[in-house]
Amino acid sequence: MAITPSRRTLLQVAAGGIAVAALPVGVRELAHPPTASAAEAPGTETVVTSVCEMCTVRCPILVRVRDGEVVKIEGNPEEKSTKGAICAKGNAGISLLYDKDRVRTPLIRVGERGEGKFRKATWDEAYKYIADRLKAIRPEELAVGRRPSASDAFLLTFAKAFGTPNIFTHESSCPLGRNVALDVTLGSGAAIDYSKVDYLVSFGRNHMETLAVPQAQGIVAGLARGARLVYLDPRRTPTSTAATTWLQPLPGTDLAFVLAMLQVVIAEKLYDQDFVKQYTLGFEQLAAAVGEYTPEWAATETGIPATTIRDVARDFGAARPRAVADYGWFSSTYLNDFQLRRAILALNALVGNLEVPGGIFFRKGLAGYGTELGDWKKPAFPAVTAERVDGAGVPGKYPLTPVKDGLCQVLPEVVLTGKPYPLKAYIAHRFDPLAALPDQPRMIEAFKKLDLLVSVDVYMSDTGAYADVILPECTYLERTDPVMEASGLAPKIRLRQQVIPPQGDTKPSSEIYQGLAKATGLGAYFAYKDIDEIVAAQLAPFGLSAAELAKVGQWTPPDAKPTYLRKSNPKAPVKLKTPSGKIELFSAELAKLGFDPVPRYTPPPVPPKGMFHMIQGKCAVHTNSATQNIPVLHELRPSNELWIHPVPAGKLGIKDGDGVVVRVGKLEQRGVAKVTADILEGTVFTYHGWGRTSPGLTRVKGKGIGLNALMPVITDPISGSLIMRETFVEVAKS
Amino acid sequence: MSAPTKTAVNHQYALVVDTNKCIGCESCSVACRVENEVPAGHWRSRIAPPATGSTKAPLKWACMHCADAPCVQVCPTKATYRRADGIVVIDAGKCVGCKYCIVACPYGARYFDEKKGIPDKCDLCVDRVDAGLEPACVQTCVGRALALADLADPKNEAAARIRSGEAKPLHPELGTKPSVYYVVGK
Repeated sequence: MAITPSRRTLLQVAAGGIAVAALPVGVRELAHPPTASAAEAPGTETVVTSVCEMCTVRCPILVRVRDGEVVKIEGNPEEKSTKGAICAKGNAGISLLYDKDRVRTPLIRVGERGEGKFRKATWDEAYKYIADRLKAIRPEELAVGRRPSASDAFLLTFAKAFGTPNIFTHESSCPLGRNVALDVTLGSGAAIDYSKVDYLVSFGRNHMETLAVPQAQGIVAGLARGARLVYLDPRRTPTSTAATTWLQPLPGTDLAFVLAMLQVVIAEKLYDQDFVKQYTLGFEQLAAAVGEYTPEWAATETGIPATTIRDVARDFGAARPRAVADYGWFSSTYLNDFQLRRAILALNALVGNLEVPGGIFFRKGLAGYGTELGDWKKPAFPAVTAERVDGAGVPGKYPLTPVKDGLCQVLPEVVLTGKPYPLKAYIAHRFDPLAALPDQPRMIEAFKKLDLLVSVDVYMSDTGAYADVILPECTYLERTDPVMEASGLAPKIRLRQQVIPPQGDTKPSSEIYQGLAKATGLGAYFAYKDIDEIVAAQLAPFGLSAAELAKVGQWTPPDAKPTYLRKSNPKAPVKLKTPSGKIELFSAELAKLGFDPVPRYTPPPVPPKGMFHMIQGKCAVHTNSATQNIPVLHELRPSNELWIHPVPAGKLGIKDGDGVVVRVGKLEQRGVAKVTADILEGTVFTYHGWGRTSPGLTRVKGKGIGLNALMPVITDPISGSLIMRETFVEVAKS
Repeated sequence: MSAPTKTAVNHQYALVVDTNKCIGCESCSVACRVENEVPAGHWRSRIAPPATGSTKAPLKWACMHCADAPCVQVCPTKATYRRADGIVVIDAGKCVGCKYCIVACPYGARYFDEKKGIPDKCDLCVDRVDAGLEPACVQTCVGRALALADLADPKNEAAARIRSGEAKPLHPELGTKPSVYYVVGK
């Protein structure tokens, strides 16, 4: 990949050969052509525009390179929503890049599954090993799972060319319930105009810690100008500290709080009557359903005083339309979660915040702009006759679950029972189901039964330790990805471009799946020379070159402006993709499927005496289960602890720092207690991502508590999302 | 880090930390670590998390660049000195590694860099600042809580927060006249 067009000389070398640590460089300077002689001078820094991949947010970055080494990563100041900021993880990209624990060559297993014993192999050997086994199975017997990435196109093309319908993302263990609620209610995903919101209510969406930099920065800026943030969480988090009001509901009762807010807003006529009439469907049914959910009722459910609930509802109504109830992100919580998200969306509809500044908006993507990204040419995919193993999109099973995501949690059950038909091979890409999903014992059993398990990753993950083959993908700093869309109020595209060549014998997805396809006889689907050719084909419809896009690193069509559809005309038409074309407060689709068509309350289960609610969350310096072994981030937070309130801790004889054992039935995890009043008495908490088992993760292996390991698989019948908060745990001193 | 030169500058630098905007994400900690090639196990800047039950914000903690810096006073070789622009730096060539400064600093801002053989600390990214850039921590700050103030610039907004008394030093009773100022409380 030619990166010269974006490399720019920034600084000359100080006398004595000591490199001066200066740089960035506004993009104005980036736009100047490089001087060839200076670019070659040792010690000179160049800057490459790219896109971060330390989490799923994909912030635009500037990468500083000196003598062929990445020396620093900074945020791209041209992006207005981040202003040059990146988070700790983004800053630590270099620590991943040069980590000695990375897998640097393809590996083929020689030991027992899980032992982590492998031999080094060439790419051709690894491809042949995989291809030989894939040729022996039926197309639908292959499953592929991934965390979504800008490189997805290659794995997806391989899976579709192979002919399997069993394509999964990790979404059902994270935001799937929210996504389906958005689909049912608004017809598609949406975004929140955080920086302009005057009154934000967040139901456990821990913005300041489960970081999406543009969101956190927008909210902080809003708070600084006097906006209010009401935050509900049983645990004190950095968001509690930032919030103007922090409330501690009993776990799983957020829906009661929202229903009571709806009741107050409707009963006191605080809603936007014109908006409701023009843009929503089912207001009468909603009003009838929530009539009984008074703040007094909700107070008994949530443990939050009725006056507080009423005040929040009134303040919310008074702030319209710049009032937003956050529909959240992680929603694999309780069985009432889907209706919680629906109820939150109804609350937003009542205040008419759709498509106005400080409200909720639909992304103005390239599709709406009229010109879309091109693609590389490939033959039509073979017709798939087999039904998906998980029932996603299938009538009578999980018709509302998007088939692009599926239910990744079904794999152990399907593999072990062979029903509805056997799965024999699994490719896990940038995805560690063993660390991320519930019921570890069954997952391991299933891994052992597979004919083929392939892990495509930068590390030997927990799943990787059980794999037959590990294919070492290079990091985002070593590869160019297909152009990605990053649209918001206006269409926008970004380019992740290679900064330095792949380290060791690692490869990008564009080459990995091309090589695998050739070995499997599917090379025709990957008939491109290299990634540069793909990027050029993508950009061709815009008359844009990769070099031009790389100058700033992102691009918006010059005639496209940030747009709120209802800003100047509150009665402007807004086309929704729901069956009715309106915001569906009442959903006929849900009614037909036998689910509550308007949100109603289902209480969460209550722990039996002596057991605890168990909640998990993410910390600001780690992403899911992907980053705990990265040196700098590991140093910041090497392990997790079990948060427990002093009252139950006292009864159990547990002091701060004591060893504890957490049990669910016969399964247990061991760790260290953090005795703190920052959590409700009946609830324990840990950060997610620990309890790791892979010998390839030399720093984090064996540290901390992995609560997923203890959980059974519980699936929401409506959305297909995993439910991971309804498992209760016993805690004892160890 | 290169040995900073004593340039005659018409700047008077300070750092303003708006704790209302700090979300405790440690972005600054890592940016500093990478920018300054701080060895494993050490940090020039960290976030002190709020204590249990505290409603206070997290606190960025590093060298305070004191006007009456104990580290400067105790240094037997004058390796540590305060530049005219207020930045306290170390001349590695003069440092003998006696570590008096580590003991003397009441803010616990120094660590011993075994590789370099000097007691290192935050130098406000002096090379970046001299090149007209913000320190790495300021540049990367997610909440935009950090600002490089120039008290010699009457128009500098961050400096105005210091002059007005809105931003205050931490533990002024120690009498070291720190140049890092905190905005506390909503």
